[in-house]
Amino acid sequence: MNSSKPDEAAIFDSAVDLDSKQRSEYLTQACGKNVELRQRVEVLLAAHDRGSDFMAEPAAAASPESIHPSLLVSNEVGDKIGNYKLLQQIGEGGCGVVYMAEQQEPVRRRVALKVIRLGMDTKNVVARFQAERQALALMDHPNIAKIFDAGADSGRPFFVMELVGGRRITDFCDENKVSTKDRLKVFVQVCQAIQHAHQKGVIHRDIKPSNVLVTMQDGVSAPKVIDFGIAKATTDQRLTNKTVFTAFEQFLGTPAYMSPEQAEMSESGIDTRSDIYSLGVLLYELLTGVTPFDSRRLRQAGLDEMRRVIRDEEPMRPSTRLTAMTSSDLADVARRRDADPAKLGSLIRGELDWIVLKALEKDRNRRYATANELATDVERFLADEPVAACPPSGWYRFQKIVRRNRLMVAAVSAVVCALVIGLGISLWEFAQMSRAEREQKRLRQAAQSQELIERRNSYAVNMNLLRQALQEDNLGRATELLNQQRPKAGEEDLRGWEWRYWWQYCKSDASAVLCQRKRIIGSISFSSSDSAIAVTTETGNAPIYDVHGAKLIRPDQVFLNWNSRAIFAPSEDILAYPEEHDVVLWNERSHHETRRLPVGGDLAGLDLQFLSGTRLLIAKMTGTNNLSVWDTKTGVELTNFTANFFDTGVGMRFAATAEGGTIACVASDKVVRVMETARGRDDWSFPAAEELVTALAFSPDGKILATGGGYTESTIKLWNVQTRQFAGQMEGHRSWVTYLKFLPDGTLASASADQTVRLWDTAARKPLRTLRGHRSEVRVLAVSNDGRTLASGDKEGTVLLWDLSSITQRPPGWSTVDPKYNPQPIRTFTLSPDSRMIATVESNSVRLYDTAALHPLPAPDLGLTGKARQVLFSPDSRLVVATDYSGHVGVYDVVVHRQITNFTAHPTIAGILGSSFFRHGKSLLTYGMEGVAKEWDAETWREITHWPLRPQQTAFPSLFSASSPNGLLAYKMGGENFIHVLFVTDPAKVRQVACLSRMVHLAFSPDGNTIAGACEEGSIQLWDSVTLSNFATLHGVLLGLHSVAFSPDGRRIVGGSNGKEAIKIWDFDSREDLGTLEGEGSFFRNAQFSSDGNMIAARNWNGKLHLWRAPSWAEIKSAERTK
Amino acid sequence: MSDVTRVLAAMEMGDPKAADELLPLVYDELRKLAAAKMAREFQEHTLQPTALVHEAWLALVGNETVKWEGRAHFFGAAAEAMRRILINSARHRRARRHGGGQHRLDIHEIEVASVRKDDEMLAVDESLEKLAAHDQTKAELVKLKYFVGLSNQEVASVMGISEPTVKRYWNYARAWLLAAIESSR
Repeated sequence: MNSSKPDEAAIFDSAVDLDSKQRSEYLTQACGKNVELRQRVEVLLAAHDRGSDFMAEPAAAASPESIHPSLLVSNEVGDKIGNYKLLQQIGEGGCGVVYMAEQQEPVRRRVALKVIRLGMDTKNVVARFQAERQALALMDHPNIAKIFDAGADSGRPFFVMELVGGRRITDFCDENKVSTKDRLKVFVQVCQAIQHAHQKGVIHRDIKPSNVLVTMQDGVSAPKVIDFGIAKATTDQRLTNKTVFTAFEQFLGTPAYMSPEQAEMSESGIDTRSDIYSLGVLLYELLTGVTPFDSRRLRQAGLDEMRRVIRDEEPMRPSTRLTAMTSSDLADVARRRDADPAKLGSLIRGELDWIVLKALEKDRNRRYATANELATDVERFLADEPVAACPPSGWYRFQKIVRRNRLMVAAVSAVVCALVIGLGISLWEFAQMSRAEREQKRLRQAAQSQELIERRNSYAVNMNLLRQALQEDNLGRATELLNQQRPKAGEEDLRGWEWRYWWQYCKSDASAVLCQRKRIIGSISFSSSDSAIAVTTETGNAPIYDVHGAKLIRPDQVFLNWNSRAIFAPSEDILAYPEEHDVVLWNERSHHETRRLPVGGDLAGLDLQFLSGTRLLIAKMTGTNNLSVWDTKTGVELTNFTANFFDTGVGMRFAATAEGGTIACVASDKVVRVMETARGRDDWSFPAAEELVTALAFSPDGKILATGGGYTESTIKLWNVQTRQFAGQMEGHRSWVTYLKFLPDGTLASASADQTVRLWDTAARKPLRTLRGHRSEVRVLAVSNDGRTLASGDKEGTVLLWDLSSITQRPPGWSTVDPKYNPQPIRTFTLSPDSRMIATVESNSVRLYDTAALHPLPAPDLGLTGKARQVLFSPDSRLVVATDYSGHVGVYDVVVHRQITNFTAHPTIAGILGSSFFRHGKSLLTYGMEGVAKEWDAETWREITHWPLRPQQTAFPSLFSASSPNGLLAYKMGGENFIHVLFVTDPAKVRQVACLSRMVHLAFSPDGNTIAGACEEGSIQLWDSVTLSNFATLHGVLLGLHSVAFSPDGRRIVGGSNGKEAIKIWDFDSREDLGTLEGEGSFFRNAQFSSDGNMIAARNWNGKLHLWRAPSWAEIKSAERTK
Repeated sequence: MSDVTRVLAAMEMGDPKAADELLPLVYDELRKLAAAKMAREFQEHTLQPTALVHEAWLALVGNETVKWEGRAHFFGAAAEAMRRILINSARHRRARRHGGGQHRLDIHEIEVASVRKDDEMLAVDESLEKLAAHDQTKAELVKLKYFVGLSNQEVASVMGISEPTVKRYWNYARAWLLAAIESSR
């Protein structure tokens, strides 16, 4: 029998691939007369043929492909999801099903609705989507499908987006036999769409052909990129080794398009360059018809191998790939490109190879830094210009130039024309000077490497991502983004005000890091004197620390049972912990074991609580008597009873009042049971969570029971123990609540998987404070006996200490004048040039505040009789000058606190429209409503000269702005559609430039070369103040813009907008959107920078001052040095 | 040097007792990882043994260099540990379906698959011992492929055989097990 074994297997192997007739013949021949053998082989063959389902999948595989789509979603056409009626299923993928649906409210329109498959944590998916919603809303690009909405329907997240017809880009190109050059043109559009998204801080993360749909519009192929925001919402940002799992699933979706850093799931995270990689893969496929790495091969290779290939294997050059194809495959590829198979390779060979390989660089620092750069290179190829993808040799450059030669003549003549026009426009001599300087600057900039431009783009993207990370309280990610922008040696420092501003919010709120254990923290306990802290981890080892984090010497390191706690008695230095089948009482002062309580049974997952007196309550998860109370002095078990604990998966959850009379535990997943052991009342059970109760705590007076839910909810619920009624709930955490603990004063502390600890006023059901500092799920809390220190432990083993006495409500990102100083609504204000003061016009009075504390300073006595209109400081910050609507000027010296003068500058009937210091503060200019400008000596306050400001105009100028350094004045009249620009000493030569009528504020750059205008429609226009050419428009706000200002160094432009977008910041050089600052209310006017560059100020519609402060570079340097 | 690398080194040296030490180490780590995973991603209810084993490898061996044989030993132990975990959990689920079991939820309660799959898994496990007596190598292969979910390529590299051989062995083992299960009913 044994001898036949190999034969049996060998015969089976040979027979299995044959058809039945061949098999029979073969078996007859192979088995000969051995009937037994033949029977056995036939049984095996029959089993093989029958059992195609048997063991077809691994015992516990859950790979997305193995799940039949019918298991994923069960929505039917005609069903309603939220406000959407499903009309037709239009797609299906590993991630879910897409329907064409009809939105019914508020507008009736057809949309695409994507239902994500079951198994994703809905709440987090939706929360993550909501976090990015603002950024998504900012995207407005013809090649990007709009995302409208996200929600959840019976536990499944869904996304609603613009309905896009069209085919996936690769199919479209193949079916329409789109030539390689035309494919490149479509690809450039895709890059531009991605670039737009990156500028808004949105990374796609899942670029692949099925997410790029192409339609024909007016005979032109127009791509649309879909599914923005979905990849981010459905994958956890923080991928650690432990979450490799979930990612592995995502992973199986499109490994072929995944960048090495995505495949690695490295801590360094995903950035815009990951999208560049995916674009590179897309380009590869558009050119060759195949992806650099075969997706089937990757999928079958297993996790490690897949990672290895993506990380280490160099892709074949696209042209080589074509050469390596079989001639019939190549013919197919060529036919789909309407090309000659022989020429296809030579078209791609060289430059296109380089472009693709640069996008596919393993090291993302070597890829194109932005999508734009990639697009530009492709465009260069299309235009026969040298591409940047490889360092071009002299010969290469020469070749290019020769090919371009015939175009040169035309190009040169165009430049000459531009110069002539430019010369004709320049009117003044001074302008010639500055113009030449500007021209030089421009040339210098052009000479700078493309690299700098790209760095600027990625800086802008990072700043937007940084703000988002902070909004999500993701300090780890925020810090990393911040640090990425620190310049390396030799690099230009691109950081500006916004970097410094966000820097201050990346600091942890914790007062100290107690320890870092690298294991899930199971319990934390303070000794009776608060001088020692015991910390346990899931592995069960229990070191004791002093409050400064030093490990206290322990002669015998105890090893506790799995997932157990060690707690100190509140009144003496006794530590209780489980060991084997006993609970050990250890005297921490004398360092010896005082007693062992023979609890018995499996003590894994044990919880302990000291009750009043010397009693110890022991709760265990196993055995029949789950709860017992022991006298720690005598070692006697006082009482025990059955409680039937339910393991929540995060350990035991139970709570007892101080006396031990009332005990609450999780009875089943959703149900809490409250046992009244002392009062003789019946037990009480109630459902307390949607899915699972994950935390329990009694208030110090025992009257309130707080419960926390997981994993799909993040609500804290309160229950009145006396009346047994629901007493309200509190929302705020972004993920499930892992632990609850009342402080002695009745404040509730909650820990959450959202990496924060929060403090709550349970009486008012209001959040008090969010404590940020953890970089993973917070798992456990403890409070010192004096109530001053809170300790929290997280999943990665860090224990942080928080000084509760110094914890106050986190201030908003801006400060304002304290209401106790009774500020009136501010109509306008000015920051002093020394940045120390603010002068405000409130109602009819002018007031002064210091900027540091926003305390009022003595009010300047200006002697104005009319309504104050404007206030300004002299360049030395010594004089405050105010003008009113009655033509008066008042001057006050803030150093000696004395009124200097008060005079009538313009006829009372007309009043003063504006004023500014001129000639470095030696004179003051005033513009009267009667149409006359006057220059006053700032010493004697006598008139030096006057001139007609606008002889033919009668309408009121609605706004003004003047730049002192070179004496340019720009203004716009109400209702007009142009800006008047003039040089104050040569008023006759006033020039007009067209603008939008809703232009409401103007500002000059510090060098006077640029005029910026804020438009209520929501854009900022930039003009060259000499040529008056409108050279740029800044976009990016959701609502209108009401004011504009430059930073003192001229590198930033800020615009005042509304509410959550109170202030918008742009980089002047790159025109990139660098982010927004939140404020309160709408219509942020008078936006301005302080001269020291540290503050941005504006006031809202209600006249409330907003001051956003960033620490100075010196402050940051010194803070980082001490750290 | 971690415990596991030490044991693997001892096995390489031919220490017969070392193999006995390896299984509990790997089993504990896998059980812990599975429990931690369940605690964290409770809503998911699924266990992916391949990833779990990879994770255990990272946790126990990390970056330390281990020879090919060591890796094979590790995977052998991991496959056996994984089989035990999955079978235990399936048994517990089955017990609970029939009204037995405990109220506590632990590692055994991890949802792996449908009832049908549980039954298949338990049946395979019952016949696996017989297959091991008949052909040890193919039983090992079943553990790696079926209980750990390794791909053919991975099984090939772990067992030191070629991929076509993996396929051939697998075909045979599958047919053998099915025939054995059917004949015992």
